[in-house]
Amino acid sequence: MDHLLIVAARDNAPVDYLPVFILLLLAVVLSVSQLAISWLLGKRVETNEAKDEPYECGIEADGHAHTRFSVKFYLVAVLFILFDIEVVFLYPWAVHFGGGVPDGVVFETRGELLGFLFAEMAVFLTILFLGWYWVVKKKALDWEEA
Amino acid sequence: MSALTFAIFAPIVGMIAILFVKKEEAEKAKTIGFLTSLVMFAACTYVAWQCFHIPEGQQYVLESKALWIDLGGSFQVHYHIGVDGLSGMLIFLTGLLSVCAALASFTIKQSVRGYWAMFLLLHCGVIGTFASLDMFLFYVFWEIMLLPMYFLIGVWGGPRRIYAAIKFFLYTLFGSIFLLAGILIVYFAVTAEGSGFTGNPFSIPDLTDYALAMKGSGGILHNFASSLSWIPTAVFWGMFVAFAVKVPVFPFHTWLPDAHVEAPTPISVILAGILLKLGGYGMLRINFPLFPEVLADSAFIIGTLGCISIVYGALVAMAQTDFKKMVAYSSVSHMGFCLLGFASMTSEGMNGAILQLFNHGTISGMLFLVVGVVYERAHHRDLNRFGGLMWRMPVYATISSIAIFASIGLPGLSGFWGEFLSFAGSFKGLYSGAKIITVIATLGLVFTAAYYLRAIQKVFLGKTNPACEQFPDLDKREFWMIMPLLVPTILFGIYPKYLIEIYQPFVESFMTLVAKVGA
Amino acid sequence: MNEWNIGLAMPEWILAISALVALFLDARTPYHRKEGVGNAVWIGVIVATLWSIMQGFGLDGKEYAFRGRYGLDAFSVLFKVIFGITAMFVMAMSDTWLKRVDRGHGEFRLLTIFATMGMFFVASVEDFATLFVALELITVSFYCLTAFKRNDVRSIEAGIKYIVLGALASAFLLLGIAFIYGATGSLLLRDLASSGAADQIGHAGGALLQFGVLLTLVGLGFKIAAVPFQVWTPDVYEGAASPVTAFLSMGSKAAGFVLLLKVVRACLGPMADSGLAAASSWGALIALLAGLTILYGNLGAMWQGNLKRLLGYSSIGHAGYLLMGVMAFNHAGFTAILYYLMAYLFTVLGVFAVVVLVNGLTKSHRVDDYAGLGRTNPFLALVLTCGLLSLAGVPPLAGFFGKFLIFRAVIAKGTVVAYSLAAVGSLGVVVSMYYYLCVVKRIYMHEAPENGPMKTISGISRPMMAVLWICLIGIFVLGFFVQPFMSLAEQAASALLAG
Repeated sequence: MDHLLIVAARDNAPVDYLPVFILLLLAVVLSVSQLAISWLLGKRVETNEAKDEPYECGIEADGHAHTRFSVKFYLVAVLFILFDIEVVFLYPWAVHFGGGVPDGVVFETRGELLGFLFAEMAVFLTILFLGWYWVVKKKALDWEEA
Repeated sequence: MSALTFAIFAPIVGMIAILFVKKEEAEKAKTIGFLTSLVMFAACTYVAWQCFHIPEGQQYVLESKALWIDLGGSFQVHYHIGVDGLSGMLIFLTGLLSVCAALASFTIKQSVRGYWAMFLLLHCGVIGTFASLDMFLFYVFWEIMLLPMYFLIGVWGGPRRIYAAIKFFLYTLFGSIFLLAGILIVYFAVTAEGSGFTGNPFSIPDLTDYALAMKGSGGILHNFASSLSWIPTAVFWGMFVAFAVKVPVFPFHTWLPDAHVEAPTPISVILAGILLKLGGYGMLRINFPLFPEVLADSAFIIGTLGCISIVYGALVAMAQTDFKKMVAYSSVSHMGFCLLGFASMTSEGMNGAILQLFNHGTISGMLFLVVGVVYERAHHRDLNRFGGLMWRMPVYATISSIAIFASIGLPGLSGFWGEFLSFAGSFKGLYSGAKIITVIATLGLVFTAAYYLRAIQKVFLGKTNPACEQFPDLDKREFWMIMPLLVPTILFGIYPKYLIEIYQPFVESFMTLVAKVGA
Repeated sequence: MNEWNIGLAMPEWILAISALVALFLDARTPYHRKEGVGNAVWIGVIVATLWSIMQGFGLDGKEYAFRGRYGLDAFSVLFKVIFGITAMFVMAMSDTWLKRVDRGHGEFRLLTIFATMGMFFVASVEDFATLFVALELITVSFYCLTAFKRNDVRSIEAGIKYIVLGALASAFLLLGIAFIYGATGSLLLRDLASSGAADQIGHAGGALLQFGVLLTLVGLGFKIAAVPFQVWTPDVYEGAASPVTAFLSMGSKAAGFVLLLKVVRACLGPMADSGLAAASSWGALIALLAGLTILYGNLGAMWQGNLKRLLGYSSIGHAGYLLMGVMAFNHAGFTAILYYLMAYLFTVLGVFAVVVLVNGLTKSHRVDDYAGLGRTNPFLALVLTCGLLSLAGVPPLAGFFGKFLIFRAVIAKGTVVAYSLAAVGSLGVVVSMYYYLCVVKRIYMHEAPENGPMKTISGISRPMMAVLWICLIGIFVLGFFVQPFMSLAEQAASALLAG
C-alpha cells in the first residue's frame, strides 16, 4: 500500500482533531470580538450620509454599480490563479526532494526517489511552460493589443 | 431455407430491391412490389398446402430452428418458426390479401418507392408473427409490423392521418409492453428453481406442453403459489390486453375507426383483413394455451366483452353516415364473435371463432375494396350522397351486395358459418351466464342486418343521384383485385369443409388443453 | 500492484502528447490555418483508440499501473474504445460545424481532446483522487465548450448554468470523498470494498462512510443528470453547440456512469452480504431516483418544440433507465448498462449528426422546421428516424435490446420495488414513443413550407458521411447481432465485479 497517503484514520482519537477545533475557536472569537468591539466603542447613530454609502471607507462611491470591467482583468486574474496554484505545488515537491520522504518507503534507494521526483517535475514543468507559451502567443498577456 | 423462411423474407428482398430504384424510375417500384406480392402469395399457398399433410404425432410442419440470441444460461432466443393448420390458414389469407392490396395500391401516386417498401416490410412482420414459435421472436415480429403501418397510415392517409397513425401506434405499443412483461415473467417463473420445466423458456410448443402437464397443479406459473397467486391472472390479462387492442375488443377499440377512415384503401384492407386477425391468433397461440385455467375462470368476462363488442359495434355502425366508418365499426362487431367463440371453450365455438378469423379477413377486405372503389369515383364516402349505383355500375353493385350479404351472415356465403358456429358453441358455453350472453349477442345480428340493408338501399337502390351519373363500372384491375376474395367467400360458404379440415388438429389439441379444466 | 508500469497508460500518454503538440501548433499558427491542430487531435484520438483495442486483445485479467492507482481490465478497455469512437464522431461533427464559425477552431479541438483524455482516465480510475481530477478535466473542458458560441446568449446561459451547478456537484463529490477518506483512511476504491469498510456500511458506526457515499452519489448524479440534479440538462443541451451537446450526451454521461459503476461496485464489498447490496434501503433509494428520473425526463420531453431541448429531456429519461440497471446491483444489471451505452453511442450520435447538418441549413432546432426532411434528404431522414426509434426502444433496433436487458435485470430481482420500477419504466417507454413519433411525423408527414429553408443538403463531408453510415449500421447490428456485443458487455461487467 502507498504509505504516502494512507493514514490509519480509525485509530485516531478525537484529540487528534484538537488543532482543528482551536482554529475554529479562533475564527469564532475573532469575528465575534470584532463585532463586539465596534458595538461597544462606536457611536450609535440612526443614519447619516456616510452610513448610506456602499462602503464605509471614506472614499465616495463613483459611477454605476453595474459597470462592465474589461475582460482583460478577468483574464489576468484567471492566469494569475492558475500559475499561482502551480507554484504552490512546487513547495511540497521541494520538501520531498530535500529529504522529506524516508528511504525505502516508496523506492528502494534514494537515487531512485530523486530520479522519479525529477522526472515528474520535468513533465509537470514542460506542460506548464507549454501552456505559458500558448498564453503568450495568444497575446493574453498583451494589455494593449488583445 | 424452408418455404416458410422464404415467405417471411421474400418481402424484405423486394424491399431492398426497391431501395435501389432510382427516383426517376419510381414506377418500377410498383412492378417490383406487385411481383413480390405474387411470389409471396405462391409461397404462402405452398405453406398452407403443407398444413393439410401434417404427419401423425407432429404438431407443426416446415419447422426450422436456429439460435439467434444467447444471453447465457437458459436465456436463448431462437429463430424458431413453423406452421400448423391455424397459422397456415392465416398465412394463406395474408398472401391472398397482399395480392389484392397490391392491386389496389396501383392508385398510390405519392412517394411510390417509400410506399411499396413499407408495404412489403409490413408483410414480413405479419407472416413472421404468424410463423413464430418462439415468444421473443413473436414479439419482435409483432413490433416490426407497427412501424410500416404507422408510416402507411401517416404518410399516405386521409386528412387526419397523423392523429390516426399516432393513436394506432400508441395503443398497440401500450398493449405490447404488457406482452413483453408477460413473456419475461413467464421466463423467470419457468426457469426458477423447482419449476420442473425442462424445455426452452421461450418456445411456444414447449410451454404449451408444460401448461398441459401442469394443468390442475397451478399452471405454468405455479411457482408464484401462495402470496403472489394473483400473478398468473395478471399475466394472462396483460397479454390479453396486448392482443385485445389488436382485435379490437370493446374498451380498446377506439383506434380502429380512426385508423381505418384515414388509411388508404389497400392499407385498410390489410388492417382489417390481417392485422385484426393477429390479435385473435395471439390469443389462440399464446394467451389461452399458456393459461388454460385462467381462461376457464375468465370465460365470463371474455364472453361479456365479446358480447359488448358485437352489440356496441353494430349500434355505432348503425349511426354512421360515412361508408368506411360503418364498415370499420362492423369489424369491431364481427371480431366480437371470435371472443364469444373463444369464451365458450366448446369445439363448436372454437371452430366458429377460427372460421370467423378467416372469413372476416376475406369479407372485410372485400368491403374495404368496395368502399375504395366508390371513393375513388366520388371522392367522398357519405352514404346520403349516393344512390342508384345499381343502374350505373351493375357489376360493382353485384359484387358489393355479395360482400355485404356475406358480412350479414347470409347462409350460403362464408360469413354465415363463423357466426353460426360461434353462436352454437357459445350457447352451450361452459361458464354460467353463457346462454344469456349469447341471446343478447344475437341482437347484434339484427342491428347488423339493419345497417347493411340501409347501406345497400342508400347506395345501390333508389333513384340515381345526379352526381353519380358519370361513374364508370369496375375496370379490369378493380375487378381482379376483388375477385380473389369473392371466390373464397362463395366457395367456403358452400363448402367450408376445407377450411375446417386444415385447422382441425389445432382445435382438437386446444380442446384437450382446456377440456379437463373446464369440466 | 506496486509497479509503476507506466507503459500501460499508453493511450493516455498518446492523447497527452498529441494534445500538447496540438497546443504548440495552435500557438504558432494564425487564425484560419488550424488544420495542423485538427490533424494532431485526430491522429491522437485514432492512435489512442487503436492502442486501447490492441491492449484489449492482449489483456489477461487486470493490470495495474502507477502503483495501483490506475487499472486496466476489460471494463476500462471497452469504455476507452467507446470514448474514442465518441470523440471521433464528435470531431467529425465539429469539423462540419466549425466551418460556420470564424474563430476558435484551435481551442475547440484542444478542448475536445482534453475532455477525451479525461474520459480515458476515468475508465481506468482506481482511487478517488484520480477520479476527481479526471472528472474535473472532463467537466472544465465542457464548461468552455458549452459557452463556446460566445455571441449567443443561450450558449452563455448554458455555460453559466453548467459551471455553477457543475462546481456545486464537484463540491459535493469532493466532500463525499473527504468523508470516505475519513472513514476508511484510504483513497483507493478497492479499500472501500474491503471487508472492514463493508462492515462499516452495515453498522451504525458507518454513518460517516454512508454519508460520504451518499455525497459522492450526489456529485455523480449531477454528471449523469439524474433527478433531483437534472435541472441544468435541457438548458445546457439547448444552448451548447450541437457537437458539444452530442459529446455531452454520450461522453460525459458515459463517464459519469463509469464512475458511478465503479463506486457502486466498490460499495458492494467483497461479500455481497455485508456490502451496499445487502442494504435494501440503498436499492430502494436508487430505484426511487431512477423512477423519478424516467418520469421527469419523459414527461418533460412531451412538451418540447425544440429538438435539442427534447433530446435533453430524453437524455434525462435515459439516465433513468441506466439507473434502473444500477438498481439491479448485479452482473445482469451492469451488463445491461454496458449494452445500453453501446447502443446509445450509435443511436444518439447518429441523431446529433443529423441535427448538426440540418441546423447548418435551417439555422434552427425547432421540431417544426424538420418538416419535409423525408422528402428533401431521405438519407438523413432515415438516420434520424432510426435513431429516434432506437432511442424509443422499438425492436429490433439497438435501443430495444438495451432497454430489454435493463428490464430483464430489474424484473429478475423479483421484489415489489423492482416490479414497480419496471412498471414506471414501461410507462416511460410509451410516453417516450409519443414524443419521438411526433418528430418522425414532422419528418415524413408534414410538407416543408414554401420558400422555407429546407432543401437538399449537399457537400456532406466524408467523415460526416462515415459517421452517418456507421451509426445507421450500428443501430441495426446491435439490434440483430446481439451476441458478440453482449459477450463484450458481459466480459466487461465481470471484470468490473472482479474489482
